[in-house]
Amino acid sequence: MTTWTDSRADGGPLSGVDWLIGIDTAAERPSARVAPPAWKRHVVLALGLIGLAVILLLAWLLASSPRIDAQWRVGPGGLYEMAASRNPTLSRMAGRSLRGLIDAQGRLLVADATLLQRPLRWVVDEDDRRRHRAMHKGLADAMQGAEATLLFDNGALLRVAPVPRGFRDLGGMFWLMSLLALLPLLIGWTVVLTRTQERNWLFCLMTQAQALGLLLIAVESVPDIVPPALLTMVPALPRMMLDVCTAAAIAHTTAINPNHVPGARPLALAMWVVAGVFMIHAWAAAPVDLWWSTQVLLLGYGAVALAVLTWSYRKLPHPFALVLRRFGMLSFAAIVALTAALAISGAGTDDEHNIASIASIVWSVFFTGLLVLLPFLSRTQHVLREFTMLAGVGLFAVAVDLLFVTVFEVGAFASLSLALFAALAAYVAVRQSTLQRLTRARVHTVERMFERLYEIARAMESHPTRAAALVATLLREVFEPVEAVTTDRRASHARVLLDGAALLVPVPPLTEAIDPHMLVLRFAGRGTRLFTSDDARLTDRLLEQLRRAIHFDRAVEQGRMEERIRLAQDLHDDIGARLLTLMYQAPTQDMENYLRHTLQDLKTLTRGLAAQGHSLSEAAAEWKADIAQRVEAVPMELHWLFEADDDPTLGVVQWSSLTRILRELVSNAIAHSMASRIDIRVILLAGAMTIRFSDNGIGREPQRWSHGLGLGGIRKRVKLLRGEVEWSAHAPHGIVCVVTVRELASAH
Amino acid sequence: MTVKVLILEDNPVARNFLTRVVRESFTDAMVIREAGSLAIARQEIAEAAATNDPAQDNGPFSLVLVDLELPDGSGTELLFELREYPATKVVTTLYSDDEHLFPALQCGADGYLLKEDRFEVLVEELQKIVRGLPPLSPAIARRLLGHFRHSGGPMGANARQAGIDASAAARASAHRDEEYERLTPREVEVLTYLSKGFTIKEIAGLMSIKWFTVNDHIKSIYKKLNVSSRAEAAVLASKQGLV
Repeated sequence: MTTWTDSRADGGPLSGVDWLIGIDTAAERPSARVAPPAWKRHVVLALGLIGLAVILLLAWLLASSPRIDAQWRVGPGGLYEMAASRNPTLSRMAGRSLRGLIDAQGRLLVADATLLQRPLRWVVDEDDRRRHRAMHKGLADAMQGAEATLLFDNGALLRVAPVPRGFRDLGGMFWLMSLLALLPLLIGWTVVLTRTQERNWLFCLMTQAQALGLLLIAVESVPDIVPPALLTMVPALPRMMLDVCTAAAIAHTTAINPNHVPGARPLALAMWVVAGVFMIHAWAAAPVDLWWSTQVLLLGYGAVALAVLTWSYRKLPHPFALVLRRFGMLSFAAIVALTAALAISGAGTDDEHNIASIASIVWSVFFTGLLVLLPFLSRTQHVLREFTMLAGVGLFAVAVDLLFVTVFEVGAFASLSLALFAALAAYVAVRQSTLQRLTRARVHTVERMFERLYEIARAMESHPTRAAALVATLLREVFEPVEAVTTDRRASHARVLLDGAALLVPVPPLTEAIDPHMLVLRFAGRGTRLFTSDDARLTDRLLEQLRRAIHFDRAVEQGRMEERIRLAQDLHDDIGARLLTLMYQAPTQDMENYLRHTLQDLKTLTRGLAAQGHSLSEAAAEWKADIAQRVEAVPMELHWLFEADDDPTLGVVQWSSLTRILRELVSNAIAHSMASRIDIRVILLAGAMTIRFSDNGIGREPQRWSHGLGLGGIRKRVKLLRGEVEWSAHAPHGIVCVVTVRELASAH
Repeated sequence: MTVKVLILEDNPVARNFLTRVVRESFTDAMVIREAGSLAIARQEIAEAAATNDPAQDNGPFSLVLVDLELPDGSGTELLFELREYPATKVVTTLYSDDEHLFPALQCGADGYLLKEDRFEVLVEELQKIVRGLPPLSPAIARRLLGHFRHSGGPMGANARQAGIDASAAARASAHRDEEYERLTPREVEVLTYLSKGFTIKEIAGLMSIKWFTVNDHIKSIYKKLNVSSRAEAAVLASKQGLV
């Protein structure tokens, strides 16, 4: 229940950095799991005990109220039919219908089961309600005497002494509903005690009203021909008023939560003024259309609340507004359906009335459940969803049942089976799509998520400087938050903040480039979804998987690197030393040069294997120095130009290919061209690399050259780089060789 | 006067080749001692020191050629042991990369020769080294720049990074000056050009100075590296288990 109260204290409009402050105040609380102060716990405990005492008192009052010791069922013609009795006099009348009771003045008090069975709150017609109350009061009064006179349909008059009901006959429904009433009572007060603020008081008001309503349902549920005398003291009006209060509080809350809409105060005031005027009017004038006007007022409040939430969401896409609106819509639809069902069945049969009263109870339980679960929204969204769905299906079943009974005049049992079947079918049919709609199921499938995870891990390795941004990208893709910012709060695990509006994510130092920092994601699903504790757990797991992926990649890469270095060292030491020995002992100069080139190629190869990577500028410096040294001995003039608009890191293949292409070109020039000058231009422009090599030697018509080892080697290496090579004659003499690699980066 | 030369090289063919290079390089009368392993080299050096009599062609070596890869260890070990030895120490190796050469230079080598170079090139290079003109590849120049930048720039880069206040940084920097000699701006410039692959002639042109002035700068850089590296060489040696 702390999530409800995690929210900002001031409730002002959320914008910019403002909401981050809200997070900080929330995060300053050491942990959501820390127990509240002892006195608060004691108050809640005391309230629970008081609630329990009230229930027991109520039970005692009901148990001690007099009644006729018999079980009744509703018989034909809307009369009570006696099922059984412990009283020997009465038991003779088993199976007989009761016409009524004769009061002290000798008047007949008709016991209309059709009417008495219905919850007073949901009696549509005001005349019915008055009749209900009069009948109720008369029957209760008749029980007050030493003896009650019962008139059965066969004309038999029986005088029976009323006896106290006793706890045993209160019925399971009474206990169930009264204990259920404890729940909103306690949660309402806990929320207020955790943080005393306007909307928590409103929430408390709603829950208390619901608790009272449930208690009244509990009292009404006590099965008997004569309703408990207690009820005569509690007319229908309070239950309607409780509902009006709840609705007004809901409308008021939507104006200040999750966002403070402009004009929230006047709006709230108007809500309460309307409620107050209505209540006074209802009390004083007792209008004929009280039930209708109550329902219309409730629906009006509902409509206002939904409109305000829509408006509020447009102003600031706080997912809480959306979620509230979603559940609000469901509740609104449910109460419209209930109102319609009751209006239709107003003058209907017993069965219809039965179903209508069940529907009203289902509605109350559904609404209370919704209310009670709201504070836990970010933790129990899926519970709430399932609950809503079940309640919705329950209401649907009742409505279908009612439809069958009223429209098709099917028997009670058949209609119930049909309704259940239809409801189940509807549940199966809509569950998946509704769940998806409600949760805005993630765009990412599990496979896609894993794929992205590994892609991001790779990307983090190849672009270490962008690592932190990549983590944010991953989280953005998974949760689609409206924004993701860093904060300097500390937390060991991902946490949901502000009723699920934000998720605090501690980003561990996954690579050296990432300093541990905190990310705050705000408003999931582009402001349509609340973060849940499941999301927090998912985030923790994602980051853990990412860490493992990186470690795994690194281990593999390190293994590879070690293997490459070992290979390079072996080649260099063994083969290199042998080639060197051969070179020293070479019988001819050509042989010696050949061996020298081979040795140099071997060195390039092994260095490429062992090196981590060369930046282009460093490689170019070495090429230049190496070539300069080589041509100096010839002697030959070197004109070198290196221009690059970027300094990419060359891969092993790129470095060794380029090194050997240049070496081969220079070797050719030295060996065959007899040139006095070579020009080399190495240019990298927008990712495309061009090497232009020219000499002023005796080479002619390069197209006719036989492609020996040297030229073939150049072609092969250029192809490896996915580039092109072109030889042409150079005016006035010499040759030009142009090597073009269009995308140096992609050849990596 | 006779020049004493020690050639430490395990491959006899290469040893023979290097002997020829040394003989070709100098006109002086010389005694060339050859060693195939670190142990023999140490023995030779010890013997030379014991019989310090220049008249009998004896005395300390004035030129030592050290191969890096030897059957009983790395040539770097011997270089470290000889860091105070007055001879010119030259590394002869197949490894031309800075990962192998820089530690050797830090351990007091005065230059390096790449064994696969042609005979004439080697002769020329060796002469240059003895004259105090060692080669500097771009990669090694880069390493040198990094080395001097970290061991005490003008403001004490390390201290600044650590967030120490200015006066503390100044004190730390002053303290460092005693240990390390700093590079002059000209030397840094030369080193920067070298790291970009410019030749000495080109650098002379770019800086509008004579080519031998560039050489002087390089000589000075080497000297400063040797001085400044001593403390680091000790650390390096202890890391490699040499001491």
